[in-house]
Amino acid sequence: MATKKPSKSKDYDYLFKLVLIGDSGVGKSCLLLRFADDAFTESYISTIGVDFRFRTVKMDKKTVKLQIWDTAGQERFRTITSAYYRGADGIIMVYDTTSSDSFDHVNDWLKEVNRYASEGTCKLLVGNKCDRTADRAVTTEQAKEFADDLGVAFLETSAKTAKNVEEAFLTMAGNLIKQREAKLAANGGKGENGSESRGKVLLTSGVRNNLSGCC
Amino acid sequence: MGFLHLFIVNKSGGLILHRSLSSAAPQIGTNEWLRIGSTFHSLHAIAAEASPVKLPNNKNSNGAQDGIEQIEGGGVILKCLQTRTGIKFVITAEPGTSDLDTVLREIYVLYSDCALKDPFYELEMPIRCELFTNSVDSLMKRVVAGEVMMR
Repeated sequence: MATKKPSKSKDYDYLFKLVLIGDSGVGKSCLLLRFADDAFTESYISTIGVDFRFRTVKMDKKTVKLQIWDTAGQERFRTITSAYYRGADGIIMVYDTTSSDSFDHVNDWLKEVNRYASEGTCKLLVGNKCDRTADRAVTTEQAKEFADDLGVAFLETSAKTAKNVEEAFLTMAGNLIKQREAKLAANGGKGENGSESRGKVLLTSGVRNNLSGCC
Repeated sequence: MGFLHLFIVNKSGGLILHRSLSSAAPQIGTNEWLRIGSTFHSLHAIAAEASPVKLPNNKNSNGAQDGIEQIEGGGVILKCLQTRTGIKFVITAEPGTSDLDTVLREIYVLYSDCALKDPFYELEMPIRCELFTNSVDSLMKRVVAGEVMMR
C-alpha cells in the first residue's frame, strides 16, 4: 500500500511561528494579505478563530518558512488564545493609527502576551492605516515613545499602499534568525571565529591521526 | 482499509513532518498540510476547553494534555497520540484499519531513536532526518505485511 515517494518537504530549513494580534478591524488580515499575496481589499471580513498564511524567504543561505497565525481580534474568540501564543517565535502587535482606542488596548494585548508567550519571543509594534493622514489619531512620536519604553521595535505601515509591510515582516524574520544563530553559537553549535571557541570541543585538528584500529 | 497520512505537530502547533502513506491520501501541498496540522492543534485545544469533564490538571491517563484522541468520519479515521511534552503524532486511515494505536506508538519510538538522537536535529523544527523517514517507511511496510506484533 505504502507509496515510495521521495519527501518533497525539504524546501525549508526553519519554520517560524509569527502571531498577529490587535483589536478587531485594525487591519491584521489585510497586512497579511499584502505580505503573503501582495493584494488588498477594502471589504471587511472578520477572521473566525485563526487563519494561517505562509511565505518563504531566503536569508543567508537558509530558507525560512514563516507561518503567520492571523488571530481573530474579536472578544468572543479569545477563549483559546493561549494555544496561539504558546511557542510563538514572534508576535506582531497591530493598532490602527486612526483609532486611539486600538492604541490604548495594545497594553492589554501585551499583558496577554506576557502571560502566555515564552520569554525570548521577538515583539514588534505596528501602526497600520498610516495612509489615512487626515483621520490620524495616534502620532508617530507618541507610538515611538511607547515602543521605546517597552523596548520593542516599531513601524508604521499601510496595507493599502504596501508601505513598510514587507519591512515589518522581514525585520522580524531577520531578528529571529540572528537570535537562533546566536543561541546555537552560545550552545557550542557553531562558532565562526576562534574567540568564540572557548568551552567547545575542537574537532578540526589532530583528531584523525589518533583514530586507528577501531572500525 | 489502509493507512493514509502521517503528520507530526510540535507543541506550539507547527507541523514538523508530514508523510503520505498511500496513493489514496489527498495529494495536497506542504502549505495545506501545515494549515491542517495547525488547525488540528487549535481544535485539540478547543476540545479540551469545551469538554464538560475536566481532568485533574487537564492531563489524561498518559500524562498528556487532554484533547482530541480520535475523529471518525464516513471515509476516514484520525487518531492522535500526544506525548507528555506536547508533540502530537497524528495518523489518518480508512475506516476499519486496525492497530492505529500501535503504529503511532512505534512511530513515537522511532522519533525518539532517530530524530531526537540526531545531533543536527533542532527541537521543534521540521524533521529532516532520512533515518527517521526511512524507518517509518519500513515500519509501515511491516505493518501492512502483518509482521509487527500487535499488543
